[in-house]
Amino acid sequence: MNCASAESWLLAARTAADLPEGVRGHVAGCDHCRGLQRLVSAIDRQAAGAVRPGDPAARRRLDTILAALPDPRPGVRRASRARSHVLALLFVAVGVVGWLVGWATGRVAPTRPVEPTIPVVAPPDPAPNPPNSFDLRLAHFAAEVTGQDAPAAFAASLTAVAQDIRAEAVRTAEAGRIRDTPRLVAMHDRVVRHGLAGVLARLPSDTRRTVSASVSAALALAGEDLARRADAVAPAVGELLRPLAESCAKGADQIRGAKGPAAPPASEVGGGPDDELIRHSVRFVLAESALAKADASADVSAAVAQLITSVAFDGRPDEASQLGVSLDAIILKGVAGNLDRTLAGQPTAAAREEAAGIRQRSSRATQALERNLAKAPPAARAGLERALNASAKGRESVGHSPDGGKPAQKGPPWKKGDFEHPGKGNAVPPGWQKKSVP
Amino acid sequence: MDHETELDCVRRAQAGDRAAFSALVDRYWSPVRAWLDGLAGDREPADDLAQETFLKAWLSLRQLSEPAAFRVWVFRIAKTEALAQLRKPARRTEALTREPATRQPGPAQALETAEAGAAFAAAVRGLADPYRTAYLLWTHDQMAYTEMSRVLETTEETARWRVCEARRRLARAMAPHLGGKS
Repeated sequence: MNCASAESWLLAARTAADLPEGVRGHVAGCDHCRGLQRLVSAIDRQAAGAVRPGDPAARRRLDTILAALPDPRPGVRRASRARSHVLALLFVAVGVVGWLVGWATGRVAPTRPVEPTIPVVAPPDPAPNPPNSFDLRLAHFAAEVTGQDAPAAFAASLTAVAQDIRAEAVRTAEAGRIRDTPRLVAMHDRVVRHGLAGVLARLPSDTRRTVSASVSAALALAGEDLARRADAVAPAVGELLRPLAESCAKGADQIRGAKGPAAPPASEVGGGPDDELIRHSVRFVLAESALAKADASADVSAAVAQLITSVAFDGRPDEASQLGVSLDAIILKGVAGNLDRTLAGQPTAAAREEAAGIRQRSSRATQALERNLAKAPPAARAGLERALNASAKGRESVGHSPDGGKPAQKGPPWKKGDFEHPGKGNAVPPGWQKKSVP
Repeated sequence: MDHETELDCVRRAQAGDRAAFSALVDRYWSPVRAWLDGLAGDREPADDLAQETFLKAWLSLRQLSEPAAFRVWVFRIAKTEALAQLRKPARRTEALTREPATRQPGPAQALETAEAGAAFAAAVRGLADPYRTAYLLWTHDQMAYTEMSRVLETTEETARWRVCEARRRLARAMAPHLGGKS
């Protein structure tokens, strides 16, 4: 054994124990080789210690993102070494399994079309009794969103509702409901291109790239899937589906390019309560201040109140009751919670005035339910009563007593302190003084 | 985590068990991140690369036909991810000087001085990519040459040679700082 041979062994061995007996013997008696052994051991130690400390939150963030990713489909084969193809297959797998999980848990009806799930950060906690109808799911989404404050949570909720809207749009298109599908496509456009793109742009830069890449890839895939479906079905149905495919593709481009929220769709008014619910929920997630969030929540609550009336008059008391639960949460957290936050922060007089207006508006929205109850046919009464009971706490928080909707503060408005006295210093309202003069 | 436990975790993770996958991430997060840190330097945050590596691992876990090869497989994903990122234009413009290990220097521990640390960082950066990739893989996860050859997609002999060559060059560069013979 000479030094040259021993050196090759020394450089390849991790420890002295890995060396053959002959080499160990040589090293023991050779200063040069012993020195080399010490040197390379020291270098290895240096290498192990030279790693810069990482961000401890990165590992936790990974868990958060992983929690939102559905299981990949078993047995997916790699179609190509090209990265895009691999990703495409993965997302197909993710989507199918996501749908199966949804079907198994009752969140997606079994007749719904299969489409990819958009993986996005931690999903909200599942409801104990997931709602079955589209209206209920929208109201549940609104309640979820108006109770949150983090962009990541908003992104998860918007992703889920976008998927739900797509599924509903496909269902209506295939059922030939030509008026409903375009409305749902506009709703989808608003959620994805306005809401989701805006929220993703607000994510911290370290998670935005990963999450946006996943979301845009899944959206692009959903768009391709819808385009293929549009080609395969009857032309009339295909025409309804193509705008939805375009909405997905444009949303994917926008999110991939980190372009931020698109301008909201032109048609701002004239939709039904579910359109309004989506419009104001998206306003909520993009609102910058607690006051703006309260304002959006008041509009969301008005939309849910309309849904309740519609469902109750349709003779579906169970659904009305569940909508009442959502209404309760929206008013409590979205309206009252954000108003409290606003008032706790030493607001300006104008902000206080606006807050009082929002509170009143929210209160008026729920008063409509009470008025409807007073005149409702027997079939609708049960639903309205149950919805009112379910939303009692929320209604009370914005100025209603839970027993029949009487105002919590009795007396004329000028005695509540929110208004200037109309008599400008007189102790009685205008007109009273005149009448009392004989 | 021993090999049997790891194999069990991989199988359970393939069946959709997220806790099992989390245990695998716990096992490999540090070595993968450390390796990526060495490969990417200041071009790309190692945390981001590690995160994307494990996300892709989860999404494609069921494509792994040989659960016993999980370690090799995850390092291959990491390598692909690092190479893909490094081909892009640099996102950062900071100097490539790396902070040495943050340890208290002692008189008998010349290696741990800031000077030696900086020299070592420079020496590692000066290694050609194949040598640096092989050497850091060999160092950070104590990987055997057989496994290394699969990660690096080369022969075992070439993997061994790259490690030897890297250590030889590092020894030559570090000898003046460590008082050794080159």
